[in-house]
Amino acid sequence: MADEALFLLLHNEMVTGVYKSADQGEVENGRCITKLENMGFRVGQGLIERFTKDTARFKDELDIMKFICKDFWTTIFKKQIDNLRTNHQGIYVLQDNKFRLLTQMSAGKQYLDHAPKYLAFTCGLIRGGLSNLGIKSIVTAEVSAMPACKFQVMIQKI
Amino acid sequence: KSFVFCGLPRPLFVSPNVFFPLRQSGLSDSSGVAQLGRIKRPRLHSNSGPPAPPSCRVCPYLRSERSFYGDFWSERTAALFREAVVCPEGLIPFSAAPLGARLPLALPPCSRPLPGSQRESSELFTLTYGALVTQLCKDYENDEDVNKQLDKMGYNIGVRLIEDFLARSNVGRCHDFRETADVIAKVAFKMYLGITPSITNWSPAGDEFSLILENNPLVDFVELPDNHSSLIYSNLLCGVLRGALEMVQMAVDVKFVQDTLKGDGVTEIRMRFIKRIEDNLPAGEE
Repeated sequence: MADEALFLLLHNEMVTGVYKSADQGEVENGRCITKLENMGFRVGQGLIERFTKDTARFKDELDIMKFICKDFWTTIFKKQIDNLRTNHQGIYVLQDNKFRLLTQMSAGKQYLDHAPKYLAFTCGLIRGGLSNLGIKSIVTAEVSAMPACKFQVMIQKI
Repeated sequence: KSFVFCGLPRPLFVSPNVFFPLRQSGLSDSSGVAQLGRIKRPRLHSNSGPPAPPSCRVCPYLRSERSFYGDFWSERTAALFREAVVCPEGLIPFSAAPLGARLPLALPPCSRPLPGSQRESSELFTLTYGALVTQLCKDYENDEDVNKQLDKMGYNIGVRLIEDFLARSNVGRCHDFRETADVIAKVAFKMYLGITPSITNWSPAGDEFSLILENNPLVDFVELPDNHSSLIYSNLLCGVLRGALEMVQMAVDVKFVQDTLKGDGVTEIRMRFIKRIEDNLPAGEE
């Protein structure tokens, strides 16, 4: 029943903890972001297994992305993705206008350079979820004005 | 495992047939907010039906329980209310609401997630916590450092969580350590982790007690490997409790006594009251 507040606080502590325990060199070359993303990956893999236990088979990639945008996002962040765009060639952009992990941080451009740290875990969540549904991908995130953010998913055809 | 309530929408108004008469209590404060005196609850069911819930002076849900639960009012719900101290929304504990307590004018946003996703959002927290502990074990070589780090993180979470808790639960000030123990076990744990630990093993002086958790949601899906035998996996909880209580002027010492991960039957947390923290006034302002 863990509340939203509890997960939010734990996530923020995780980010702080990872950065505190890292050396200077690691902070600069992005090892910390990688660590957070890998944590998210593992969690995403586990979560998607639990969530899709009873759902029907997905018809195609777009169906999977819609599941991520609707059910997956709703269960984790209590809201849906506001906008999904695709070029039908393996690139999807998920836009969330009020991303739960950033709403408490600022409502505009303040702290913009700290925002990527707080998005890494969620990128990993998406990547992990897709990976256990059979899709290899690369997920990046960008923020121009908090709390809106965009997650870009690039599907890798093996 | 946990009781899943029906997905009935919350009532937006209190239906008139269960509205009790306003009575002027001895309190002189009479702003526009309804003052609640002692309420004699009318029996809404015949003797053959399930028993009516205990009277809750403040919780709006129980005041209109018939209209809220309707056909879903059952023996099970009645039993739950009999043994629970907290109303199902985790809003306000029955016994802790003082006489004449004010109604919250705007109900706090429903913190209850959709039925079905209740279990899943607790899994998110469990899995995230697992990933965090795994990463910490990789970063720090020995278990003691990991324990300390978990405690520190828990402390930081606790000092913020207490504000969220107080805003949501509206409990009044606790007058002694026993009340504190009650609120922690029956309101706080229920609100955030969905479990209600039991309180036992009070010391003779009344300053130490144990919280017994039958099942710890943090350790779902977890097994401790052999080379981490001195790792206190759920040490975050100790930090959270310590941090939260420090913000309400209580210095406590919290530690794990038993842990299901290490083979014990239950998880036991021992809490010891150290002292009351007084606010230090800056020199010259005494």
